[in-house]
Amino acid sequence: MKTKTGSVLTAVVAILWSSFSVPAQQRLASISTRTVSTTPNPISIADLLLGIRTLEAAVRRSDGSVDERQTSFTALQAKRVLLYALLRKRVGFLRSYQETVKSPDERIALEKDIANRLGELRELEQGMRRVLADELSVPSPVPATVPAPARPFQQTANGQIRVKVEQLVSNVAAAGTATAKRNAADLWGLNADVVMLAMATRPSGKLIGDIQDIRVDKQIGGGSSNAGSTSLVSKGAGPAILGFAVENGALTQSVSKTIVTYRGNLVGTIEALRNKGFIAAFRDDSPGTKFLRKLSYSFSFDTSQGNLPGTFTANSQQLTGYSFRYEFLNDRDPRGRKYQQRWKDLADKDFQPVLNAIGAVAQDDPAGLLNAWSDKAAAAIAAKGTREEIRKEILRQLDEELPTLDQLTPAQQQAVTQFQAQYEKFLTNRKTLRDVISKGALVTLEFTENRRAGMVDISNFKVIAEGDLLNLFGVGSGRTELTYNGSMTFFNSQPGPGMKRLRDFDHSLQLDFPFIVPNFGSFNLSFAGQYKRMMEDEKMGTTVMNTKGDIAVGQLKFTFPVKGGFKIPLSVTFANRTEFVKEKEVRGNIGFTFDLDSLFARFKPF
Amino acid sequence: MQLINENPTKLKCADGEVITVKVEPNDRVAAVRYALNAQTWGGGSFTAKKANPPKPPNIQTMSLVVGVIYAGESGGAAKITITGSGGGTPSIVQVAQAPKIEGLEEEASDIVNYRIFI
Repeated sequence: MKTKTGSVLTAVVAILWSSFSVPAQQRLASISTRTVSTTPNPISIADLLLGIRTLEAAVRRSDGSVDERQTSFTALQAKRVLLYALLRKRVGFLRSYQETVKSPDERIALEKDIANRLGELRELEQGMRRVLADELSVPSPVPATVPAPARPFQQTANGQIRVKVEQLVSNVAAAGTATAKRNAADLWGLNADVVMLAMATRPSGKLIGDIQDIRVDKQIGGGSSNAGSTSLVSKGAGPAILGFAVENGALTQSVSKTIVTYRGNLVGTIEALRNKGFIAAFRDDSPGTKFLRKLSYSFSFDTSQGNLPGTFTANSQQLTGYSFRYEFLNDRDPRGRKYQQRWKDLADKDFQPVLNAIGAVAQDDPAGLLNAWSDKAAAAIAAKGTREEIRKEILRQLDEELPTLDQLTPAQQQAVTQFQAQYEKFLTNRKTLRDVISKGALVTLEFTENRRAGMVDISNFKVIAEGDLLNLFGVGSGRTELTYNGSMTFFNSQPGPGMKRLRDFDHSLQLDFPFIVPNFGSFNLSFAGQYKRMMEDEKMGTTVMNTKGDIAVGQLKFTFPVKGGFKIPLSVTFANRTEFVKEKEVRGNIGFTFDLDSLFARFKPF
Repeated sequence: MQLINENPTKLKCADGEVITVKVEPNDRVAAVRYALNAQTWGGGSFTAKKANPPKPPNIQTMSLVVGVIYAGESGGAAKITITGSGGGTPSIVQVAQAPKIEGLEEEASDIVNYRIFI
């Protein structure tokens, strides 16, 4: 439409709920009330909790010196590790004791106690991860953030009218002067396709009736999405244009708990630095630029670390990881050479006749009927104040004031009829091409470096492959998407005597079934599975955590839309264990996502 | 060339004036096409000519339709500039793909219908 719209900026809010998600304060309280009479350790759990709370306060105290805070932080880490080990021993003891108990009531009571302890362990584990921010970016059973899968879409004449009318409402409402409002409301000049369709379908009354219920507020925006913590498999599509600052549209930013991640690519960054704007950033298509465009990077910061915990300083103390990603194969770029001929064919065979038909109606208008109507309609629309009034007037003009077919010349009538058929053909064929492109193959290699406080740093190599692979087995093109992740993680230094440098490897698969429910929007059903082999135990300070072994995770996720650009992902995840706790886990997640699309280019399209 | 009522899609041109059309699409535009007087046209420049027989002043003489096809879901945009050899005010129209909103389709194309009066 005729306004400044924009690039892609996505915001995601994810809310976690599960049967284990007792509030932190509540859980800490439950831990503190328990005695440790059944453990042989001289230090009690209650003492450790008290010490942890004291140290947490010391770390967060704003008047403390940097050195004091650092010392407190080190001591805090040590106590957390010790508490973790104590709780694990406690669980082991309770399990052993449970096997000797014959009373059903006592066994049930013990089972509840064990469940509580496991909950405490998970809570503590989460607390450790919050501090050990790098753990969030390590390939874990549930990765923190992934892009949403390609979504299906519809293309219909009435659907186009809906979006164009909504955009027209926004343009008129946003126009600053009376002249600008009138020009923005010139339907025959700027929305000739809407006028043609209205003329073609109005006798049946279907067109206007279908779009009367438009109530979408354009201010909400929309665009690409950035999922929360409800996905199991990472997707490979890197950002197309990123850079030095989110405010300039050159960086994408995502926040997960205390982790702030920036992702960008070199080309977008340079172009943004040149202040060339969103569009100019794509104009350089030299071979060197094309190569660099495939390379993207990210930096993650943990705001709970550093001299000022809770304050985002983005210094080296808060830097917990960085990554580089290169797209070896990307068949999803509509600019790709592979699709050039198909776009040309679409333009020549399907789109050109649409333009010619409009030209025929405009050219053969002996009484100037359409121009006269458009001038009058523009004045009426521009005179309205609110968006709702503008919308109503636009629809009224199309429904009641627009010249009818029988007022046109035979040549015009024929052109209108041709336009309708040709326009629908164009939309259908464009959708087909877009479906093919959106499911094109994508292969990406990613390297991630993770800095881990109190633990050996690690490096991860990951291969991500996506595509409509089920098409090979007869499932309709564009209807499914299969994503594979394979990764290996290495310790950056020798983790301990006799231990290997290979920390873990894993394989993950995710199958997406996107589908559309008319009048509701696009839904997505996905199945995912992951196998992970932990090759070595983890070592934190002098404490060795028994993490070695196999992890199997399965996930079922259903994403459905609600009005206003929101989507709700629901997922259930099954795991035989986590990296730290060797107990089965079933977790439910619900999230909210919303899109803030096109903000950058809205203000700076050229 | 002058804009009628400051409307960039209603142009008043002189007989014999050379009109130049320049379209600057971003790379999210898949194709640009033109129709001049209801016929396929390749873009560039054309000469404004009075109709034969002449049309009344309030009836448009020529028709120029410019269309862009958007390649993706959002972000497509193009700047259309029309100038006349006789000087005057250039016509500038910026088209941009509507932002994608849940519940609404993505915008497939934009079409600008220029009415030329000679």
